[in-house]
Amino acid sequence: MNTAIIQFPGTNCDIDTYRVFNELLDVEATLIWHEKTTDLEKFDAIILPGGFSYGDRLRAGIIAAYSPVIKQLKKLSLKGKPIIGICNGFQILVESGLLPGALLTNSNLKFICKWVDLKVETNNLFTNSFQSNSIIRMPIAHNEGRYYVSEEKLQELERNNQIVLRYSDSEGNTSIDNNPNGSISNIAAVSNSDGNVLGMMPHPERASDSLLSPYYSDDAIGIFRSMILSLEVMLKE
Amino acid sequence: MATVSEFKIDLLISPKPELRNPEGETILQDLLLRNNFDYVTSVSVSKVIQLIIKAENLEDAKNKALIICDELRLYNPLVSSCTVRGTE
Repeated sequence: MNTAIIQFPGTNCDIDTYRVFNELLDVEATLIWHEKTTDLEKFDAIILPGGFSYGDRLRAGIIAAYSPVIKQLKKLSLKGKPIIGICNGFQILVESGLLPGALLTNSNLKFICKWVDLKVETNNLFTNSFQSNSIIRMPIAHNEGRYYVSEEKLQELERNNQIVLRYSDSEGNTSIDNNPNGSISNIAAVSNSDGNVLGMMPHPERASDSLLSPYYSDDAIGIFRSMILSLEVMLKE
Repeated sequence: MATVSEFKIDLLISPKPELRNPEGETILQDLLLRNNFDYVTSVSVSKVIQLIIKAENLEDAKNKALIICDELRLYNPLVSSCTVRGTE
């Protein structure tokens, strides 16, 4: 099994993600520069890590969204290939139309860098190793993380179980008090309607090793582990 | 043969009114109202992208700008609108 980790100019969470796969999960991952004409078909999964691609110029994620590598991702997403966009990777997926909605400047106009509690809202490819309604801890670090969709689209996301994580407290309450950035309905992560493309603002790669967590937690590794377990089942079939 | 000139095209990218505009809200609450400019009722911050476009006439230049806007999503139509203004 091999996961491609795509690097753009300004990506800065690529090595953390690489180490989670190669060192903590003992699953191969390969760093791929976005301009390389590598055929991504041969990879089992693809990750767009966080950072500030192209310095967030014009809008976070928009310039990377027009990279040739994204054209490949659009084709592969239709074939069911698992794709995760983390933070800036989520912004790229939204700007490229692979995920619905938009990510706007945080409602308090500040870059927010802090650990948050997140409620797992759905059981899919990326969450099936968690118990239902689990609360997991991850850091967020972004300026444009206010997720927005129209009311109509929000209802559609709810109906299709596309809301994957919500900002909550440690008890799982998803009130406005636990909403760090003003995201609609406390949404921190969404998937596409087929469930194989995940976008999330929190950083699981920074919360996968208890040594690096102020709470000695490593539960966020479950996001990657769920995907790997699902892929193992898919590859056997 | 038609003469080609350069036109200055401004793309005014404004947030849709139904969305909160936190920067505008801060300017209104913490700058204008706090300093007693209470005849202001709303502030919204937009962005201008200026393009110099080679075209046959102003209309042609505006159309070219609109094509760029749509094809490369210079603005996000989900959350903003775009007004094209131009001068020779």
